[in-house]
Formats: sequence, C-alpha cells, structure tokens
Amino acid sequence: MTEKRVKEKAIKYVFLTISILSTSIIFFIFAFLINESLPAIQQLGLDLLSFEWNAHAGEFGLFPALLGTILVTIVALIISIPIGIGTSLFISEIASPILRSYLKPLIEVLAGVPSIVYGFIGIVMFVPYTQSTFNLLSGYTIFTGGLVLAIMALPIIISISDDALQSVPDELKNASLALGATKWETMRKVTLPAAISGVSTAIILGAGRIIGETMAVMLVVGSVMKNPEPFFDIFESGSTLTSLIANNMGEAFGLQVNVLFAAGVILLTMITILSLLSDWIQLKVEKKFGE
Amino acid sequence: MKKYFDEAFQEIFSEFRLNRIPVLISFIISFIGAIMILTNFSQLIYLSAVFSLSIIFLIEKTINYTNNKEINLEIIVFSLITLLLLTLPTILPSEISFPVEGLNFALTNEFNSSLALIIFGLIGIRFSLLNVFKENKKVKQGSAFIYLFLALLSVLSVLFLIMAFIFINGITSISWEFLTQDISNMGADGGVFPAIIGTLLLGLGTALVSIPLGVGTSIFLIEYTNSDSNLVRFIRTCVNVLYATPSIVHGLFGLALFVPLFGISLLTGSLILGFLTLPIVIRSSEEALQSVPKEIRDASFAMGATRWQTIKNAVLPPALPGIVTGAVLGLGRAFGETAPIMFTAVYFTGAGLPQSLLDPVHALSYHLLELTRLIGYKPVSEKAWGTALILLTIVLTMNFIGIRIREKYSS
Repeated sequence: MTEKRVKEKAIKYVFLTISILSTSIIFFIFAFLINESLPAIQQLGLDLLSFEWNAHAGEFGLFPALLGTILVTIVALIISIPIGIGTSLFISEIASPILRSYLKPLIEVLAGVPSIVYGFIGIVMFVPYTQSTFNLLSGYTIFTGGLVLAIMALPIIISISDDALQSVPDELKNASLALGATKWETMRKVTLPAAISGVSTAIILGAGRIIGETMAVMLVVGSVMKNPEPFFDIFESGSTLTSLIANNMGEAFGLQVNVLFAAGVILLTMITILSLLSDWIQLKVEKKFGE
Repeated sequence: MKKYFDEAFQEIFSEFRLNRIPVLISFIISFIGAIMILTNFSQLIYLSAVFSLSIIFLIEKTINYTNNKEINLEIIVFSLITLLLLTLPTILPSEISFPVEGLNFALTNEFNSSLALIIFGLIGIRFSLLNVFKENKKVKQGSAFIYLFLALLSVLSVLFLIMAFIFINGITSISWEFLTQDISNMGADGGVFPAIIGTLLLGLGTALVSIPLGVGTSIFLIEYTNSDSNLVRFIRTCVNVLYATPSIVHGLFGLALFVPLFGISLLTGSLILGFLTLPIVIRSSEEALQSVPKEIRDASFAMGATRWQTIKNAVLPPALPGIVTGAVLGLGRAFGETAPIMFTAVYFTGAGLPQSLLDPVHALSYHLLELTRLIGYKPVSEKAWGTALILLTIVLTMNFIGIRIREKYSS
C-alpha cells in the first residue's frame, strides 16, 4: 500500500515538473532576450528609439520599424475587420447548421496556410498589383504588407468571432425575435452587442498575429529603414520590427545583434500586453454568461 | 436552398420572380467589382459584365411594361446608370493624385472603376429591394444580408483564387525528379528531396518535444488540480502568452540559448518548433481530457484504481483522438514555419541529409523563402511554385486531418 502511494506521489511530481517546465518557457524567452539586448540598452539608452537607422555609422534607431509595424497593423485591421466580422455574422447567424458545418472547417483549414506561402504570393501577385493600381515606382510598400497580412488574418478573425457569436445564448435572440424585431435587427442590436467582448478578443488576437508575422510581411514591405514622409504615407517602402530582425540577423555582428534582440523584446512586450488583454476580456465574458 | 440558409435570407431569392432580377444584377455587379479591385482590372470583363447585365434588366422591364402598360421611371434611371457605368473608365480621370507634398501615389482608373462598380452594386441592391419588399424593415434586412453574403463570397473567392493560382502554376513543375532529386544550382535545377526529408525530420523532432510536454501539462492541469485555482489560471495565462509569441521571437530565443549549445542543427530546430507548437498541443489535450465524463473517473476510483491507473486506463483512451488532433495541428504549424528555424536549424544549400541530430537540415519553407528572394536573379520561379504547392499540400492536409478528427469526436 505505501509503495503504491509513493509511486502515485512520484507520478504526480513528474506531471508537476512537466507543467513547470512548460510554464517556464515564456520566462526563459523573456530572460534570454532581455539578457542579449542589455548591451544595446546600456550603450544606446533612449537612442534606441530614435529616428535614424544607419548600421554602418552605428546609429540604431528602432523608431522607423516601430512606426512601420503600427502602420502595417492599422492597414491590415482596416481591411480585415469589416470583412471578417461580416463574414462571421453570415456564417454564425444566416447560414444553416449544415452550411455552417462546411464553412467553419474550411475557414479553419485556410487559417493554417503557411506565412511564407503568403509572402511568396505577395511578391508574385500583390506587389505588381499595388504598383500598377496606385501608379507607384515600387510595389514594395507598407500598404502591400498590410494587404497581405489582412488576407492572412481574415480566417483567424472569422473563426474566433464566429465562436463568440455562437456563444450568445439563444434565449436572448429568441426574446428579441418574439418582440417583433427582424432577424437583422436582432443581429445588430442583440447578438453583436452581447458578443462584443468575444469579437474584440478576435480582433486583438488577429492584431497579435499581424504584429508578430514575419515571412509574409518581410518579403513585400520593402525593408527600408526610414520613416515615411509624411509619416502616414503607407505607399512608401518601410520596415517592421519583424522584417528588421529577419532581414538583418543573418549578417549582423557586434552591437547590431543586441539591437535586434532589443527589437525582439519590444515585439514580445507588445504581444504579451495584447495576450493578457484578450485573456482579461475572456474572463469578463465567462463571468457575464456564467459559463 | 432551404438546407443552407436562414429563412429570412431565403425570402430574398426563394421564388424566381421577375422583380428579383435587379437585385441579382446589382449583386453580381458588386461582386465583380470586389474581385476586380484585387485582381487585375480588365476593361473587357468590365464592359461585357455591365452590358450583358443591363440587357437582362431591360428585357425584364420590357416584359413588365407590356404586362402592366405603366411607364416605369426605373427603366430610365437604370438605363442612365448603365450608360454611366459603361462610359465610366473613359469619363474618370486616368488617375487621381493628392496635392500633399510627399504623397506620390495616385488612384488609377482601374481602381476607381472597380470601386465605382462596387458602390453602384451596393446602392443597386438597396434600391432594387424596394420592389421586392413592402416594409422598410425587410428592405434593410435584405440589403444587410446580401452585404454579409458578399463579404463571405469575397473572402472565399480571394482565398480560393490564391490556392488555385498556386495549384495551376505549381502542378506543372511537380514531377518524380522534382520530388526525389537533390537541390542543385541554387535551387534552379534539380528537386527538393532533402528539403522534404528535412521538413519531415523537423516535424518528427517537434512532435517528440511537444507531445510529452503538452500532454503531461494538460494531464496535470485537468486531473491533478482544481480548475479554478490560481496556479491553473497562472499556467494558462503563461501558455496563452507563449501561444501568441511571434515565431521570429522563438527564433531569437533559439539563437540565444540553443545555437551556442548545439549549433545550427536539427536538434535546435526541433526544440524551438516544439516550444512553438506546445500551446496548441496543450489546448487540444485539455479539451479532450475535459470532454471525458466525470462518471468514468468515478467508476474507476470506485473499483479501487489509483489516480494514475484511472488516468492511464480510463481517461486517456477516450481522450486519445483529441490529443492526436492537437499533435496533428501542431505539426501542420511546425511544417509551415520559417522564421524560427531560419537562423537556427536550416541551410539553403549544401546541408544534404543530416547524419546526426547536430547536423543542419534543409526545409521546404526555408527553401521557398530563398527561392522567392532569388526570383529575378535566377530562373527559379517554376521551382518556387512547385515548392509552394508541396508545402501548401502538406500543411493543409495536416490541418484537414486534424480538424476532421476533432469534428468526428466532438459530437
């Protein structure tokens, strides 16, 4: 009996150890990234966020990449939010359960298309498209990056906001329909407001994917480390934090390596905040619907 | 029809009546506009679409006229709009630019015409529905539903256009030689055999890292702890952050920790991809374990089984499909990732087949990246399409299998 108990205890501790290991990975990532970027922070201080990037002259201002990331994200969200939420409304509320059972897995399968494939498609399709449609000298622009990322983020946004819309209790919808509201009025005034926190989680997670995406954006964004002029000109070449890291890490040496790690720390911090925010919203939703 | 849509949506198209035709025409016009705004604008398609659709409309109105003998204002209005649409590409200035210093882009005629097509279509839907429904409420509902349907159709068609484009261009370069030969001449000749093997090996390594860690963690979370405890909440939050962590950051982590230890190698790549896919495995296994009814555990305990015996013999067997789903979805993700392995596990040329865990490998995703970078410098685009098709096929097949297993067992 005691031998059995010891064995049980031992097994429990094995699983505890495994869990601690899994949990600690994210802390190791933070620790190693911060450790590698310390020399850059010590030597450059706030110059790390300045406007000038010139690797040969030893100027490493990350601001252009930060601005690029923000612009690309805004463009991608402007394109993907209306279309994505519209599509999820259709799949969740208008399509019958049978049609939905085909559409939902299809969208989920498409969410898995590798980012490098989008990057490749971006170069062969969307770069020439942007160049000719907007009469530009080069099609490698921030807008192109945003466009490719919007298409890539769409299945994710659709899938998550569909889940959110599905979780709205039928009683709420039926009450509204019973009062004589049309299906559309119910969708707009009852279902969507009730699911708004879940839908915003979808947008936040989509934004997280867009900010952290590397391959699709680095191939089409132009990878030039300068601020657009004026700063909102999305039809100029730019850089994002991810494309900066991916393009330069191969040839970087000395302080530049540390600067690129610092870019990684900024990226990871942004993503962590978004992830915690979506967790917090999720918690609120669960309280609201008592699930 | 009844099978696939909600009643309120069916109402719009359910019976084929003549007054549904303008709705359909406006719908098709805006759909063509939506497709053309992203694909190359073609004057010919544009003109023929507007022309043929307006002919159909006019025929319908004439039939109506001969029946009712009423002069219909709509015919005149619609004819004018058709004329406007037909001449639009010539009326619009060839490009609209903005007089702000530094803004060098211009909206070309192609963009403006497609946009006009969409806008006319959307307005047309709204107004033609006035003839279908009497109540304002229903007109609003009908147009909103069609707009949502348009959103779905454009998403699906853009994604399918991309897939079809890859398939059509890639299928010609797929051959037995392409699949089985070594990479040569920087990818311009030969095949992708080492890259396929490398991708599969990386996948195997990923599974060996992520499955034990992931399944172990989820067993601890579900079977050994109270699901409301702070510890569980903390672990979940950390796993969620890990899930959201950008793949390039995983690559940086590998570069900082594993490359100094193991070099650029299969082992390093497997560890990083294993950590990357860990959250996917944890989530799916958690769901699978949670879906096992509590009664099964109680029955097992009642028979005198210990907790571990219960987990091993009563809980894990029914949860297995869900766990497999997580592993398969994780593998699909790992096969497609490029950013985490580009500095840590792969070489573009010359790596060959790895002889040990500490050798670098080739991978399809990284091969495609390098070929994409070489487009324009070397004749590689045919091979790039082929590589993209193989990669897409492998990843989508994995995703499809994973989602199918989940569908089958979740009900």
